[in-house]
Amino acid sequence: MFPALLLVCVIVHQMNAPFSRLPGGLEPDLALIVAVYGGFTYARGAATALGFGAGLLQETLAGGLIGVDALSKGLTGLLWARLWRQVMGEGALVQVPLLAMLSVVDGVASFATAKLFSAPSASWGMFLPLLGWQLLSNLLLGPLLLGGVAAVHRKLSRGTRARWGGHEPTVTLQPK
Amino acid sequence: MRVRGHLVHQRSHTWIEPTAAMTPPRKPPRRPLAPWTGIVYFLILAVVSLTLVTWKVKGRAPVAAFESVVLSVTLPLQHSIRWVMRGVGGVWERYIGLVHVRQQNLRMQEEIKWLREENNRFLEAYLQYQRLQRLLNFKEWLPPEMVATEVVGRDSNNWTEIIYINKGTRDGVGKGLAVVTHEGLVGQVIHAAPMLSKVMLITDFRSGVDALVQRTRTSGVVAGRGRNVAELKFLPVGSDVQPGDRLISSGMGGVFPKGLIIGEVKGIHLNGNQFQDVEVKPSIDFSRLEEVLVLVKR
Repeated sequence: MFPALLLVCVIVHQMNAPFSRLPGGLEPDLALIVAVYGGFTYARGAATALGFGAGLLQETLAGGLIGVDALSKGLTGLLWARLWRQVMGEGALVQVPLLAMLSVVDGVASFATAKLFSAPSASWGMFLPLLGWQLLSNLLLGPLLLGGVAAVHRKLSRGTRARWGGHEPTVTLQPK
Repeated sequence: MRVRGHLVHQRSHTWIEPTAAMTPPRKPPRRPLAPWTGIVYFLILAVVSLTLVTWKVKGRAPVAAFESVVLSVTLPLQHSIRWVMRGVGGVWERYIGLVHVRQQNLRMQEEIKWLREENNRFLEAYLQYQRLQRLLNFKEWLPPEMVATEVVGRDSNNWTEIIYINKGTRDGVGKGLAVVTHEGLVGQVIHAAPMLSKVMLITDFRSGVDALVQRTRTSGVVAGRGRNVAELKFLPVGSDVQPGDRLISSGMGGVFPKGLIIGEVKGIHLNGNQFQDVEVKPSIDFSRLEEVLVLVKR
């Protein structure tokens, strides 16, 4: 159930831009954060599907090419988040470099494909400020959101566990 | 308290020692996945994603249908969120935001007097224009039919500038139609589901609008730069353009009618190329858009 809730959150976030109403106007990439969390928490298949679903919903609602973000976020769930967790651990702040790397990779992939297929006159000079803004948003709000998602998951799982005898997520994403 | 090696919480004064039958069944440990499982997942992911990209580029029907389904499914959710947000916003606007209303009222009354006077002058000019047009036997220009819609959402992606409006194909809204407000040009519809449509703003980096500098009639293309900023492209060095010049749509390309206000020139930079870099401030603050008009083709 929790992955479905995460996907609903991606839809709501995508269509309402809630964080940009706050002072500063930062808007993190929630689909990326969901993909990273999926990679940390779920088995390979589920994590890939969650990342793919989040990316697919994001680009379907954003109205660009469909498939690019789905692929990059699916790979995040399948590969990058898992590798990072094995090498670096699972503290919330340790995820900052991972989020930075994935923000750049995602941004470059989206922009390059859009430039190739739908906006040939768009310049890389125009892209860099947008990338900077996305990077700043993800780095400042990403760890908080990751920690928040983990906390909500734990809270919900405790309730479910009490009722159904399920298991609790092992990932805490607490600062060490 | 520890019983048989397990921590047991004491919830009441009388409690029962847990037995094997009462403890929830533990899931068996997961078997490690075979190394090729990851490769299989990767291949499936790559094939599905690349198929979607190809279908989208080629404009295949399943992708458009999928987009419509996603938009239609999200519509009730979006309406609920909009309803809650409007309620919260209403409380703010009706009670807390009324502090400066008196000064604002006086200022607006002055502005109305000025606008009435200006309107009268424009009316005279328009009547004169109509008379001259009849004299010259021109075909009378018919304004396009308009569909009033409400903005129900705004895309959170930093790369794209998209808004969602609550009218779709059922109301005659279709792909490629121009969207405007009384302040100027908003953008164009890029996808229409039956009851919800996506509108790409003129500040989206994929958008391009053929434009004229109103004062000098010099033409260029207004392209988006994201984050409420646009630029005028392909304006040769030496063209007469100044900060504050108003830009209007030229009507070329067939999407946007001629004469819609796009914005004004904010700054000009020479970069050593044959074209100038002209920064454009759109006439509309897109973050505050609430209602828009879709120009439906007759």
